This record gives sequence, C-alpha cells and structure tokens, in this order.
Amino acid sequence: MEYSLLIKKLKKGLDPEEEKQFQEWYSSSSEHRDYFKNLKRNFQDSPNLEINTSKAWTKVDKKIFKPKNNYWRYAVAAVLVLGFLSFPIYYLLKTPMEDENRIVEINELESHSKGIIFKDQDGKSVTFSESDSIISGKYYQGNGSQLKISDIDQSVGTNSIIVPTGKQFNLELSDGTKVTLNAKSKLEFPTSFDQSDHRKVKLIYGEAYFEVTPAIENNNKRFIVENLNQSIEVIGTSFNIENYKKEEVVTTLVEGEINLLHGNNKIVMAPGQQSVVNKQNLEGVRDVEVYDYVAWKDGMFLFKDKPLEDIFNVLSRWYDVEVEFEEKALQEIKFNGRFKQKQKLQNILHIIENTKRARFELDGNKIKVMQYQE
Amino acid sequence: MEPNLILERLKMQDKKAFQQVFETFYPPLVAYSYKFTYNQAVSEDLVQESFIYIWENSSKLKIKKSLQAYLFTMVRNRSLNYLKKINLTDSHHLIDISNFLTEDFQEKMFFEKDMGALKQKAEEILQCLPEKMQEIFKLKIMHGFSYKEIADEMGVSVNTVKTQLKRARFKIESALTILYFLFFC
Repeated sequence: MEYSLLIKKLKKGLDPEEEKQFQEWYSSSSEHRDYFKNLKRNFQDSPNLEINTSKAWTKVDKKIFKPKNNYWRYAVAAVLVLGFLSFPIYYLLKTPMEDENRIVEINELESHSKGIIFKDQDGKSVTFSESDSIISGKYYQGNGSQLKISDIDQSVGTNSIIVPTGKQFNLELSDGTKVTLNAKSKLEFPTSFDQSDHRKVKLIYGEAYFEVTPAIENNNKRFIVENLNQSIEVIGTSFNIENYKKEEVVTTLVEGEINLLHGNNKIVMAPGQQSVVNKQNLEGVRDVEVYDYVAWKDGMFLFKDKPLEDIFNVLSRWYDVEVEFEEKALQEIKFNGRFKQKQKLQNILHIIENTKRARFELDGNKIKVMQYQE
Repeated sequence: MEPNLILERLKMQDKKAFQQVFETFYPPLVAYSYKFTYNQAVSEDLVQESFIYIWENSSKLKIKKSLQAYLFTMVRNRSLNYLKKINLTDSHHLIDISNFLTEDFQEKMFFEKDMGALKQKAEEILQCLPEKMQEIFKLKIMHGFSYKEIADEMGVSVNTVKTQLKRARFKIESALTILYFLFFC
C-alpha cells in the first residue's frame, strides 16, 4: 500500500480500483485503521504531542547496562567445558601469550590528552605526541613513540623524558642502552656518558625496563640506575624497576646480573629474582615469574591473582581515571587477566563485570566500583 | 557542549553526557518519527531503542557527520521499518519532503545518496515562492540561521523575517498538497 494513496483518499478520493486496494489494507488490521485515523486528524498540522522526557529517560536508564538475557552465563559455561576438556594441551602450550583473552581489538585509546615531554640539555622542552612524525635536534632524533640519543662529543648536559598517563615510550641512550618507559614515569639521563667513569641515569618516578649494553663495550663503565632509595649497578643486563609507590622500589631482573645498592648494603641479584626496597630497608629478595612484571613493555596488562585495588592502580595510570570503591571489601577481590593495553577501558571493565563479582559505573573520569547486582 | 566531545564522552560510557543528549533530542526525535508512524507510543519506543543502541554500541559507532544527524537517520530508518510492518511504503518520499519543508528538522537528517532527488523536489517547490521569501526560508530552514542573523544578512527587520517565514510555510503547505496530487493525478 502506497502512502500517497492514503493522502489521495483524504484529499481527493480514490477511483474504484484504488478504493478496493485501500479497503483491503484498511480492513486487514486495527493498527492500519488507527494509522489512517491519526493521519486524517494530524497530517497537515504539526501535532501537539505531550512528550514526557523524564519518564522516558527512567525507562531507558533501567534498560541500559543490564544484559537482556543470560547470554554470558552460557558463554562462560561453554568456556569452562572447553577448558576442562583441553586441560592437558593447555598446560603444554603455556607461553607468555597463551591466555590471550577474548578481547576484540579496538583501534585506539581514547584518553590521549597530553604528549610526551622531552627536555633537552639546554633546558629547552619539546612536547610531542604519536601523531608527530619526526622530532630532531642536534643530538637526538625520533618520533612520537621513540627517541634515540646520538653519541656526540662535548655534550654533558642532562635531559629528561616525562611520559604521561596512557602512554609508553622507547628511548635509546647514547651508549645503545634501550629503555622502555611506562605511563606516568620520568627519567633523567645525560646526553653523553663520555665525561664520567660510569653511566648513570635517574628514574625519578614510575616504571622502566632496561636493556643495558655490556660494560665491556663501554670502556668498562658500569651502568647505574638511581632511585630515591636505591641504586642498581649493572654490568650488562635486562631488568625492570618499578617505583610508583612513593617509598617502594621493586626491581625485577630478567637476565644478566645486577648489584642492588641501598644504604651501605650491596646485594647481588640473579635472573628471575625480584627485590623490594621500602624506605631504605630491603624487604627481601624473592624468585618471581619474571614475565608477569615486564608484560607491560609488550603492551599488555597482566594481572595474576591481583586484588581489584592493584588492578585499578595500574589501569588509572593508563586511562587517566580516578577510582572510588563503594565498600572496602571490594578492593580485595582478586582477579586473573591479561588485557591488551590498546583498547578501551570500557572493554576491560565489561570483562571484569562479566565475572559477576563487581560492577562499575563510569562517570567522566571517575569509576565507581560497586557490589554486583543481578 | 561540543558535539564531537559528546561523542567522545559517550564512547567513554559517560552516563551524564548520555542523559544530556537524551534530554535534548528525545522530544524532537519523537515528533519527527511521529510524522512517519502517526502513533506516539510506537515512536517513543523506537526512539528509546535508538538511544539504547547508541549507548550500547558507542565504541563501535562510526559517525561521519554529527551525532544529531546520526540519531535522526536512525530514527527515520526505524520509522520506515514500522511503516513496512503495517504494509505501507512511501516510494515518492512524500513524508521526507514534507518534513524537509515544514518542520524545523532542517538538514539534520540529510545523509543518504537518494536524498539528492528529494532535495531537488523540495527546491522545485521553493521555486514557487517569491525570491526574498525563498532566501529567508533557505537561510532559516536549510542553513539554520537565527531570525537575528537572517535580519542582519538581508538588511531587514526581525519582524519582517518572521512574517515572511510564516507566509512561506503557508505557501509550502499549499504547494505540498499540489505535490501530493502530482503523483497520482
């Protein structure tokens, strides 16, 4: 049935053939009759509808954020069954990437607000972002995600890099040492190490992964990373230093050998070991699953049996959000998970929510963590 | 709030922003849909569903123009689906043309390829108006100028703009009736 026929019916009348067609349509349903009646009444002037927006909002508000069916329950059940059946293979195939979760890759992060700040040895500062293709100066060159310092003579000044929330940055120092800086970190380093008898950089705050070139290639100069409370002396090695909590420094050695210096003590650390230094005191050295602590440099969040509080500490450095727990008990709930960093926070929250152990409300840059409700 | 900013905030699942968008666009969208469905309950339902869709899929949405245009387009499609359900088709786009010329929905919902022809028809109707009236009408409806802006632009008083628009609308109504007949006379 053509709409134009209805108008013709109203305005002018139909010929017998059309009338027959109309009657057929008109008589076949009460919805059709209602339509025609309302059209007749309203079609030429704007109808005065009484629209109750707040009532409609209440209705919509109730529907959003609640799954319409139990789809997830079935999905979880299916995964559990599969997991059970494939148990032996699962363990054989265990690799760092093995439990890559069911995340759909989504193009970009949303929260890039600030850029990376590079302050060169003359105190000049440059802010750049991932969209900047080339950054160069007399002794450095790079782009939005990395910077390489060239070894040139007669440069003795100090540079610094500040990485904001939600970013990572790769830096190659003039001795070839590679540093990956995590979000919310600051590193100070000299342009050249030629003038001193060691290679010293300072991790002012944050987290960094170092791949240090051997001393033997650098006139036997030791590499030293200084923190607030400790120094790490390196012969040539890969390791991770985390110093997000004001007074706690966590150092994880991946390979090689490092000396941990704090106060007057010196401890030799072996690969796979992790030290925690708290206010000048060495809390201890323990063996750890190293990859858990350095997965971030490969663009991953890796949580193993971590309480929600710790998880949100990590997430907030990446997504620039503040977290509020409705009840203290919620901070303690533990989760396992592996997430790609290059995705929306919302995805991660959804996945955690699907375990039905907590629920989240995102309001601007605030996340409220609440008790799960059916 | 800036439209693109709103979209970003929706993508962040910012409920306050969502509510704000809802409150702004719900009434005009329902009124717009009503011109298709002539059934307020149906229109309210489908507009609500559109909003829920936007909320639940905000991360996937690819919005080329504005969120507003996107909303109107989605509501239009859903309204047309309802017509299909009650065995009605509007192959001459009479409803679109009528909306385009008589309501304040402006260009908000213009989007698709087949809208070119529709626009042309609307233009033809506008040709029947005196030149000055035509220009005022276009500035207001098609380009979204305010009365004051039109008055300044044309060097006339705000009152003149208002009267001219009223007359334009009246003439268009008559022209539309004629147009309806064009299709079946």
